[in-house]
Amino acid sequence: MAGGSDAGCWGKLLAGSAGGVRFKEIGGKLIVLFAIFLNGLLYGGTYALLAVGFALVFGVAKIVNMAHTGFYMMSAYLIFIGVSILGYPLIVAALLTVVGAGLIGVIAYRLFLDRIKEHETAVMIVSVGLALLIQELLLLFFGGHYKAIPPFIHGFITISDQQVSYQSILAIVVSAVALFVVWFLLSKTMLGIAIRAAAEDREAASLMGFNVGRISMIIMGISVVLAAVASSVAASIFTIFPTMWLHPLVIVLAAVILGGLGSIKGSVIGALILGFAESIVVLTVPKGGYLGGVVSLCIMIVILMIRPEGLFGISFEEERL
Amino acid sequence: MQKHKASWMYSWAACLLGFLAVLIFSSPGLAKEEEVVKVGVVAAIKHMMGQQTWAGAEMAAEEINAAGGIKVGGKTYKIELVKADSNEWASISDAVGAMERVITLDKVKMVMGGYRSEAVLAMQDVAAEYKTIYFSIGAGHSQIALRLVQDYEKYKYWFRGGKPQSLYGGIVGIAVVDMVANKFKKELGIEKPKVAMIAEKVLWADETLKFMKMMCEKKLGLEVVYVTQPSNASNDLRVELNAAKASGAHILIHLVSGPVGVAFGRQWGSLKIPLAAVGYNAEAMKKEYWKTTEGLCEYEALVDYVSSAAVNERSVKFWKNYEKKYNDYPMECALSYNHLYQWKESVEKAGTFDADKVIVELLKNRFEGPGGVYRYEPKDAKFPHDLVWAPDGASTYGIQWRKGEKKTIWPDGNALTWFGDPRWKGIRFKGTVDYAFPPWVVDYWKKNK
Repeated sequence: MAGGSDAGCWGKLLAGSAGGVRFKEIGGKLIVLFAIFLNGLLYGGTYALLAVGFALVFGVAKIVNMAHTGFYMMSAYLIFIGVSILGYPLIVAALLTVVGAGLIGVIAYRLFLDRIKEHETAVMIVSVGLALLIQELLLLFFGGHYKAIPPFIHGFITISDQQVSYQSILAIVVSAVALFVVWFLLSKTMLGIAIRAAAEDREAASLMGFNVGRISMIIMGISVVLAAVASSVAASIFTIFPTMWLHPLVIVLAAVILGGLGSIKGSVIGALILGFAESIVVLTVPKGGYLGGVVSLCIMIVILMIRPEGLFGISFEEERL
Repeated sequence: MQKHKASWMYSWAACLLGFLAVLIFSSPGLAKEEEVVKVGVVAAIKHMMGQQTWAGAEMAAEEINAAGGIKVGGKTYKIELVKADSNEWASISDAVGAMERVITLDKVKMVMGGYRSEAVLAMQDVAAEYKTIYFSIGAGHSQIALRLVQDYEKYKYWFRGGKPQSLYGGIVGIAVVDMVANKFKKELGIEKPKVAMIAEKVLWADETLKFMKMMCEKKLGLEVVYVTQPSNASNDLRVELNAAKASGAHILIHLVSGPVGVAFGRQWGSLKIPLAAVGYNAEAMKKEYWKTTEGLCEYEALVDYVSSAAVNERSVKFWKNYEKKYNDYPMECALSYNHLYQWKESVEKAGTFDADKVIVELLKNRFEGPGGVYRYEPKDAKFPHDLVWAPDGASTYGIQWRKGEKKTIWPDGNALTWFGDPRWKGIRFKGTVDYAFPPWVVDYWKKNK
């Protein structure tokens, strides 16, 4: 079958070729499935880190932070500055960026969002403005030129006929470890108890002696740290440019809404679903690479039509983190 | 005492008046005015293509002014460039607004710029409305020229600039594919290598993709086994590259112009995808591409519109001067340089800035410069006011990244027999080298023939 044909791809997938890609019969099916699984994890892992950070801020501070992926982009540029301009080793630049980004997140929260957090619409608009400010500042200093940072680990391994870079594997591992750390923080530490209390009922938490304002600020810092961690492993795989925050924002919003606003578990699962969906579309739809984002949004819409609160959404009567 | 005080004050007043007089009468504003003619550069200034459009125009303007300027009607005019940000990648209406502004407020006599075909179609309407000569710089879609066929009198003010239309880039791309395919046959014993294609989902790439696919299949007899079109905002091609490899293809044609271009070079090279990469990659034309990809782009072959080879005397000088002044390699948009010269010569021949009269001279103009000999298709051609693509016209080059430099690999002296175009036989400029396979491609296909 000539590649590029627009004939339906699902039958051909079963027959061992998909979307114009020709594979051997049985081995081909496995290769396709493995490719979908691996790439789904790669995309989903990065989105999950971003989605969890976003969900944390919403769950605790009740802020829809549209600048979240703007911080992800800012972190990528900070690493670039550290490595390419200041000459630090990559690991040092990444660590400094993670710490620095957290501080910037806290400052941004205090300066821009804390005072208006009671007004949800204003918060959304201000956070969009903040993201655009970051974008324009980066455009001013770096122009529209695309940048790149080196990977932590060069080289690749061939698994089931797929060339997989060590950096991609590192990205999956780091994402998993970061998510575990977040789970540990939330479920096994005093801070985690405070965060969950504030998310469940801010007033009650305040009455119990928790400083809800400070918790919100801390959670903002944690959220931006997660974005910076995602950036430190993903940015060396992707290209860095001043509008790179837009596509992940759409996916993160979709993941969080799909998983259920306020649900951390839901955000992770939502992100993984969308990551796998993107991988399936790219690999199986003829010429369909550009449809990845569209399909993610369609999945979100379909799920919401069936279950408006999302897969693990909070009901109106109770709040849950 | 009072008399002494008064004379002291008069002295100071006289000094002050004298000082003011010197200031005023030595002011440049009151010096004899030079005649100035304004030329608008409306381009995406924050982006590489817009910056190169400006840089090429700036170099030409400086040279022309240093040589005395434009001589019209017994007067000499210095060129003053007016820069306006088209912001065309984000907003076509911004591009239209910027063009209207330079024409109506700055009163420019000619406009250059516009890389994105969608934006240029809109800017073309502005040029038509204000009857202002307009060179689009880099936009390659055929539709822009076809409008002149539909309504020549309205759209005659437009001329294609920078490079010939994308179709010819596609032809040279196929010429390089043919070169690579012959090398697979000769050196690796693969009679009919297979082709995979990755093309951004944008207007120019859609057209070129269709054309190149058809050419591969019908003219070269090569099977296209995989085609995908990532979004132009995408910056990750790992999935697509692995899928292209899994398809069994030997040659990978890539057509990219956005951030995905950098991702392509990095990921193709770092994953050592065993396909010979040939195509068009806007980012790969930049000098910093080598550094951005950490040299992983080595062996990537591309279609380019400016060559470091000795195409003509001016081209070598231009390349050296551009690299020295801007620390970058010139790309197609820097060839705004040629068009400013062409316009200047045509204005001088016409003896006026009147657009209708200048157009007559522009259609006769031949300018030998970087990129080849720049001349235009006539009114009754299939694509009026397009750049003539020929060995004695605006050329297109095959280049390959090798050891940190862009080396010219085409024209290689062979005729385009598959295209029925013998004109290129024997055309091989000094400095041209032979195409080289990436070593990992050779290793892989020796084991997996």
